[in-house]
Amino acid sequence: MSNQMPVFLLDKNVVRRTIKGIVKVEAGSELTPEESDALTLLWKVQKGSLRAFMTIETFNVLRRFTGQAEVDLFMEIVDVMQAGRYFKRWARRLRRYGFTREDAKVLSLGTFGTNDARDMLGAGAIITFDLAFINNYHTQFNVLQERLAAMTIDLPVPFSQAVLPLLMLPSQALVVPR
Amino acid sequence: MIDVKTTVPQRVRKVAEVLRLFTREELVQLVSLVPQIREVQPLPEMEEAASAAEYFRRELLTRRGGEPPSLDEAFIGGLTYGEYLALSEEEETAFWDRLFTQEKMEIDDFEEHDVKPDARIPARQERGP
Repeated sequence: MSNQMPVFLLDKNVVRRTIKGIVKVEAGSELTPEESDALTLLWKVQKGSLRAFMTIETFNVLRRFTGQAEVDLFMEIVDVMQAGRYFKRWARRLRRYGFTREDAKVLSLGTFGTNDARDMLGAGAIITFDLAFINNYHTQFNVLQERLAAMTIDLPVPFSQAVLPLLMLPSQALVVPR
Repeated sequence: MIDVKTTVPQRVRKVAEVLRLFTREELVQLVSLVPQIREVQPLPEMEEAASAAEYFRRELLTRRGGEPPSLDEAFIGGLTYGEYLALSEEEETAFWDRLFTQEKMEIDDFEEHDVKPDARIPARQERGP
């Protein structure tokens, strides 16, 4: 798998719409634009154009339904992002900027998350449908960037090089250049 | 091949049904009245969405031995496929929220892992998009 491939972290609502999309195409039902975008994103991951991760909490929910063909298919395509060192510290700091506990966790994974091989740190973008979350993040982006730089300056490599992820809709992720 | 039922809006499918009844001469007349029909090309995103839907439809059908699921068959969380598909947006949100609440983790519940020094890191973003 290419090392330069865009890496996305899917929030829970993107995951649920993807699964709904899979069920709907099986049933021959019409997809909403959101479901279609989420499903197209999963297809691109399956094709190897992108790499996608889910949170551990999403994995814990879905693994209760293993054996269900739609869930199994999704879990075969999307990996689990683990918390890297300093995840907790950054998540707690994000809470001070008005992010919910849920949003702080996913944002912190986007910066300090890693994979099973421990050879990546953070995601290029977090994919969400939550416009309020996106707007709050973009409003505070420069401040957060400074805060992260101050926190990471004395950390060991690779944590000293950690960066903020982008936050975007699935439709935006579909046009991200490789 | 485009999965028409899942990717094409109903109003377009209805017009298509009428057009199928047209004679060749009537279709030529239609094109002269609406010349954009000749010029238009499928949008790349529409083609991708159609390909995605077709891929997953075929993949699931193969895994099920060629038999699509019955709407009465059990799906997840105690719901059948039919019940799940019939959920309103609010009901579906509440359904998944219940599942996620059961698996909720506090920040301190996460186990942190070391990362290799030469780990791949995304390009630094100057600002949000």
